[in-house]
Amino acid sequence: MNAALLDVRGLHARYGPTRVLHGIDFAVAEAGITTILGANGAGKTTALRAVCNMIKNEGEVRLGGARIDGRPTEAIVRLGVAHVPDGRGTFMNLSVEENLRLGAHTRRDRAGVAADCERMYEHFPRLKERHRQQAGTLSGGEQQMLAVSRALMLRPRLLLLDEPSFGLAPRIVQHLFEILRTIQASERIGMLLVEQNAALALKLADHAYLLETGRVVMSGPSEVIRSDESIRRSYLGY
Amino acid sequence: MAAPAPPSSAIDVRKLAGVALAFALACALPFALGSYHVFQLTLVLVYAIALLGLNMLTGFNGQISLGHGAFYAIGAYTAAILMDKAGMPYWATIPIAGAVCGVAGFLFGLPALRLEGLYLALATFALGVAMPQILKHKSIEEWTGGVQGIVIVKPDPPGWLQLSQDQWLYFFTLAWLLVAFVVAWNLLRGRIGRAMIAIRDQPIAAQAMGVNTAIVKSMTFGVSALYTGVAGALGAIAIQFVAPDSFGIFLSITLVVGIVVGGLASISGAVYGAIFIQFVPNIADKLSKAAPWAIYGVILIAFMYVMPTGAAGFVRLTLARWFRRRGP
Amino acid sequence: MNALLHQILSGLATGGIYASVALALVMIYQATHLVNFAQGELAMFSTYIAWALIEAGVPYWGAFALTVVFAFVLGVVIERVIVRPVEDAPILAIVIVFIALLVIFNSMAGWIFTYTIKPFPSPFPTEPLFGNSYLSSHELGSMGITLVVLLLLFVFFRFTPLGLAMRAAAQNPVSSRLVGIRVGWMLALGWGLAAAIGAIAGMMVAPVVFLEPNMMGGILLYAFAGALLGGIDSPGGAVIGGFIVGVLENVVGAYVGTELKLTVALVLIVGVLVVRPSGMFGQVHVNRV
Repeated sequence: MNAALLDVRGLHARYGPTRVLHGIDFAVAEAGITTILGANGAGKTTALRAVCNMIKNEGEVRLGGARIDGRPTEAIVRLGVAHVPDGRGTFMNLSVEENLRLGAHTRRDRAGVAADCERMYEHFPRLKERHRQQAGTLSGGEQQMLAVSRALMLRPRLLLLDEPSFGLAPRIVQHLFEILRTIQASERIGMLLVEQNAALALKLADHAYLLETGRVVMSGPSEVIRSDESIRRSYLGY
Repeated sequence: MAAPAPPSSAIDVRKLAGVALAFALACALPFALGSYHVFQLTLVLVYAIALLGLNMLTGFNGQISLGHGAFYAIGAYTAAILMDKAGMPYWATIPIAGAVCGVAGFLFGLPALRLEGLYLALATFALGVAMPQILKHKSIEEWTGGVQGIVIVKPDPPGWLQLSQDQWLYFFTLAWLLVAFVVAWNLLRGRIGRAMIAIRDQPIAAQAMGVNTAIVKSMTFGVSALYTGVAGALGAIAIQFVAPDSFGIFLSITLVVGIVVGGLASISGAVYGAIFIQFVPNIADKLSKAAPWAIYGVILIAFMYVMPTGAAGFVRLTLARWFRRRGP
Repeated sequence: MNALLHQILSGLATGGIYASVALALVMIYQATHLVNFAQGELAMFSTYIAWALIEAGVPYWGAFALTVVFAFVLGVVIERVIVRPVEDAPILAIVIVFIALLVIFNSMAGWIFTYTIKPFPSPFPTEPLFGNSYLSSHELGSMGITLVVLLLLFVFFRFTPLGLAMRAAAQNPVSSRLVGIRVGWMLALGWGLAAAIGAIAGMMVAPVVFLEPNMMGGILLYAFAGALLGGIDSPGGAVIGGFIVGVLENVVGAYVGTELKLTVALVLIVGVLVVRPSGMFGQVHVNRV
């Protein structure tokens, strides 16, 4: 793999006294898409939260070569890491447009922000229709699009996505993943995708890690994992 | 803030010895000190009963009250009015004051059932602030004496005892303190006490396990008010005077300072806290009228950061360490 | 009829004060889910600072501006230094810290400035505007200042990026961090603004009730009542609630007697908390097990 955008070594994480991650290693290549797969409770969401230092963790986390572990979440974000959390993290009482503007909170270029806002509306016309509406009144699919757009407003180097397909109709998921692929190609953003829907994730990603009860049990290029039937059967259930 | 465990059911010989020693000391002091100091010690006993009441509600049951001065006031005024207007002997007014406050507390506790933490603090704060105005109101002025309040005649000791008035009042109050402590100790180590603590720590689980939280919480409010009312009555008799402005929000805050310093959820803490709130203003007053409160404020914050279990917790820790070193 | 109108208008004037303090309370509540019991004493202490500046010869509006800045900084410092270390502590500990702040500021005012009642100047003329018999110039001026402050705050929160960030931080601190908002500093800013609003309220009220350390006690209670009535997590509601409480206080006071005013506040507070805790415009919270 070429020089990693995100390089994680020996990551331990816990919620209170309960250890969830037991020293895992993973990486995202510059402009690459990596996916972390696994069943419920394997620790996938925890891994994303640990990268952003939202929970207690130990280990080495490097962004573009520099250590970011231990720094406050908002500082990590300011270095260009955008996180679309599970549950979407929508600002329910604020309007769609306000949610987008918040995504660009750390940016100073007003014109650029306005242009990016328009670009998001082009990707997701439903958001444009509802841009003055309270975000909490949006459907699940629309909120997911809003969450992804909000994250992209940061113009991040690295995009973390926590189960973006969760609870969404297949058509919407397909649309979403198409947009992700387009954006990744044009903006050269690195993406770390956590998904339960392994088939979907493996189609998008170039590299994959399999997590089981807090440990990496398998990793490799996604075509390899996709084509290996025994791995698919035993770990991914299809 | 980890609260200490409830008093254990087993009778600890060492603890009993300590209590007996303290009691012996308490009995000896009034004969060694002048009458003003005896008066001050009587007030310590009075505050100890009030703090025990507040601690039951806030420390053991987790219901925050910033308005317990109101119940103290009701107890004090009940005693004063009964003595002044109905000519009742002082010793009969105590249980009545307690009963009146118990009912008042229970009644206030009923709507308070729906209020948690912060909101209860707010409602009781309002009660504490509003009390002096209620006491001054014209419609009850002929009973309460309005702004001027009521003067009480100092009771005489029974003829067959060779005691001064102050000494007699001290022992009278001490007897009530003893009763109050024994009742509280029994209550808290029994089923009801465990229910109170369960409600404080895990209200939903407690309810799921069949504890009738509504009854326990209202009852705790009532008992807590009863104790504070008894203290108010005893205090009124000791000070020989009640007036509305002595029962404002700052009295309620003083009581909170007392349980924080003494130790939340601790019975012995009531005594430490009482000593603190009685003597610190006496000493600090010499600096300036404002000094006691500045000190209270700083101490409150310091205790929250450094010693959340209060003096009682500190004493317990120190003794535990000392006994550990010396062996069983 | 005339008298009733007079009471209502006067009530609106005092209601403006309650509305301001209620707004300050709600700002802190929205961000932290905490009620700042020390709000009144902070306002009183700031007003004393204004008094000291005026006594030292600073012209009124200069002292006003300096006091507002002082209060803002004081609010920020208190949040960062005293409140932050206990922000995750059990509610009892936090309430105790607030009460401690109340007591400290009350006693510091008494210590530094003594307990003697002092007059405080009003920047408005003594003759009523256009010779009207309903409102004194001070009452009118107070209302004007209150409305200007409320308008500025509305514009700030609605239309500026910082205001948006503060609203976001109050509603959803986790997501706010994920867009790079320094939530801790947003909280501190909220406290600063709340303290500044309180200082302005204090300076508007002092000419009427005279400056002494216990001046804000009753006002705080009314502000609580107004905030609860309007909805403790609704800034607009708190403002409306404050005005309603002001009018109620005056009207009830005129017809029932002024000595029970605090009891009215108490009944309002307990009543709202028991009957409809979310107030008129607040959100109903369902406690999930």
